[in-house]
Amino acid sequence: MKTLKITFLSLAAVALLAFAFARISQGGLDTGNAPSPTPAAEADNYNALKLRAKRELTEHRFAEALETARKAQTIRTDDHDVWGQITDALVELGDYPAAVKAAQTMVDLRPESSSFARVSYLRSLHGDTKGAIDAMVLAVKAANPKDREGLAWYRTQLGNELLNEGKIRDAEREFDAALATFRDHALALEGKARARKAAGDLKAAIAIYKRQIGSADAALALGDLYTELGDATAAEAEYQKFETLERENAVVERSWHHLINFWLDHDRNLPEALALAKRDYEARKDIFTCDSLAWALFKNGRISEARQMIAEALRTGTTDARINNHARLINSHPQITQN
Amino acid sequence: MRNALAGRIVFSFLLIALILTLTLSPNIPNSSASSHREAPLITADPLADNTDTYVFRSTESGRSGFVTIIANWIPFQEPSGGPHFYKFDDTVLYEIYIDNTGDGVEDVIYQFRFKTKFKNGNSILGMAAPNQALKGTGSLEPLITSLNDPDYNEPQTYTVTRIDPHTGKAGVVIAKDLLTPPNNIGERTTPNYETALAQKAVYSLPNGGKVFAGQRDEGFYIDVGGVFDTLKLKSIGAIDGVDSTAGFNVNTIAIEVPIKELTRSGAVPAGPTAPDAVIGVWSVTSRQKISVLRQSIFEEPLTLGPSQQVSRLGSPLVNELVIPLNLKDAFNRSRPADGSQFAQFVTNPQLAVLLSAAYGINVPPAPRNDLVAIFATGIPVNSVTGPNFTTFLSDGKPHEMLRLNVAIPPSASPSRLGLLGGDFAGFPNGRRVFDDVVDIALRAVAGGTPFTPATNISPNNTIGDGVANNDVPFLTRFPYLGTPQSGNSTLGSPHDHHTINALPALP
Repeated sequence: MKTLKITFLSLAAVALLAFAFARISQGGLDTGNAPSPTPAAEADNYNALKLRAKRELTEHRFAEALETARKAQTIRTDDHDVWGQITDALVELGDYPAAVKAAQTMVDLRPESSSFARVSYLRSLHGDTKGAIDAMVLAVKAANPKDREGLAWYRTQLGNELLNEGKIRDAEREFDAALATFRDHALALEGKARARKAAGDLKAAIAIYKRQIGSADAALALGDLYTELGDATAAEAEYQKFETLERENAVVERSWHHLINFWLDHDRNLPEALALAKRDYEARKDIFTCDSLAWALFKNGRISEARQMIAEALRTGTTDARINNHARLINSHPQITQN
Repeated sequence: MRNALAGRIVFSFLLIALILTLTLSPNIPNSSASSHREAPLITADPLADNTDTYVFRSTESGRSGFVTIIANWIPFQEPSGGPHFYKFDDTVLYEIYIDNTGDGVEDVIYQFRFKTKFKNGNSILGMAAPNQALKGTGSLEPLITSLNDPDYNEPQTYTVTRIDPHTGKAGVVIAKDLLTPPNNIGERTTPNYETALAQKAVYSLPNGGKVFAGQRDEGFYIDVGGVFDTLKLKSIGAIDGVDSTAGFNVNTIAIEVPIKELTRSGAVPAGPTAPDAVIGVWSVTSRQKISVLRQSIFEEPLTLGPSQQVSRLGSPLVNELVIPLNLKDAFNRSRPADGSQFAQFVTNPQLAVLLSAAYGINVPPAPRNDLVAIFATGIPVNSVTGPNFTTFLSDGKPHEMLRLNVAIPPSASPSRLGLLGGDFAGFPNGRRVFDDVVDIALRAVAGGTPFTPATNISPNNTIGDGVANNDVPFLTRFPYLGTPQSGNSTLGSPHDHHTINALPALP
């Protein structure tokens, strides 16, 4: 069964830039609050800590971001923005129970788009796709209509969740709405491409990906599409592009995750893939990193270890197709079934 | 608001950090999964953030027995905000609270809940869509000629509930299924906007009052650039500031109710110093909490929990100019009953220090009991304003609310400077749509009022932002705020708000 799962990416840069713009009628920077005032020096440090945490999240330095955000909380505890940073960091590090608690605190302090979006993602991670859709609908409804980029982001995520449910037409409506709101929104374009592919319109999907020049993910998607169409030469050209671009991305993202998965899926550089997957796992234990390591172990013949690791990848009850496919293959391997 | 440069920077960053997962075959999906998904942490929530609250004795002819309360949301609306334009949020609870006992706790509540209908969900357009033309049953122009027009594609209806918390009951629905007018989109889409659409959205209530909810012109006039450029006001005393809100619209809820529905006695007060003459008003917005994870598989996915107050607003400019940055969220979540925690910012306001530094003027020393009276307790009967003026409503503790003495009639010669202009019917006795609250607040904080005689001298009592009127005329009838700016104006450059001039200064 073909399913599509998208995940995504950082708008922390947006938040950073937004902090640079003074908000007029809503009282300036939203830096949170405390029952009693703090001296000016602490307030300055608090703002600096928040900004630092945002930057660290953007740079995928999740452990550092968590520490910085927690340090900010030693000064003030009821800033829902910082609870959002903590939620994000915990999700990426794979501490889901703590992430759920942090997200609940965030939404209790201030139920609005940014907190609803986190609720949605956590529900999705825990296999509750319908709940994820409902929460993201709330996020879309509550989104700032003047923040076109943010609104486009929420609509795109809603489209992604709808696509996860197999609701292609509804998903495409959201991607189109996102693109109407913010022209050429990168994630919305990708979503639209995947929706077109899911609808069987490979030609349209290819056309969209071709517009995304310089995108590693678009190159990978094109490679897969050309493979499906039987054009191995064109596919390999795109795969080469992907590898080149993704090697650069990996440095920025501090993760070889996508390159690892590509190598594993195409049976390339298997030992190197395993070494890098282990390194990624040392830094973070989210279910997708666990899945990559499980797959790497499996492809390198270490079946028992792969079985243990895939169980870890399934610990939240995710319905992610890739993870569940891997689990099926790993757990049905003759080496295990003989045991 | 992000500018174009910021958008390009962010877009590039997005491309770098982009992650995609594809599943192409039933066997071995060959793409990567999640890396880092981080939703926006920008917390502007204009759909729920209050911008202004007004309360005044109605001045429309024949309406002297009524009080009008207006509350605004969704500021700085660019009129050409298509395709969906600006609507209230269906998931938000909008409320107006009234305290008539002085303890900072609401005694009367008016609740407003909205619901959007989508007539043609397949339209690529939003609020307005040529549904009839597409069916061959109507023309493109004029498009929307009534509130029930089939081409008004996304109308909102709303319900008004009045609650008396003391009864412990859920409240009485005093109006339901009322329609909001569409935004003022343009001459082709919403022609004759004021008469054909906006006025038709003014409904009568069973108590003889009126209600309206929808887009209006932004009536709050202020030189934001000057004020927030560290008080680089265009001038002190002269009229050459730039109205930064000119050309923008806002969403308004307006309700007019009989005086007796608001007072603690349930009657019309005998006079301005009667114990039931003063009420305190503030507007509140709340959103419902939700559970992160469902508790059981049988639980509805969208289990909405208790409401969380996310915004409140009584007197103008308190959250902007008095409450420090790090406490603004706390203020928004708080109630007037909890006002003591913010008292120090009124008794010793930073703004006074800034005005002194900016202009080298002497300001009254702390504690500023004069400001406490204006913003937190109301002004008691005193020798300055005489025996027939008071806005005092307090149990002895500070409660920030917009206070109105309902027994003081509208002024025959209103002054935009309200009390400071000798007009007892103006701010800080309530707030009318045309009151120049910026100049009044600046002068009050600078000590340029009769309540602080030592500093009631120039320039303290002439300071201002140089903007003395709105850019669009106010109405002389309910809902008093002007016709919203057209989304497709033919008058000059509709998008260059700085070329829009204010009307002649109000007296």
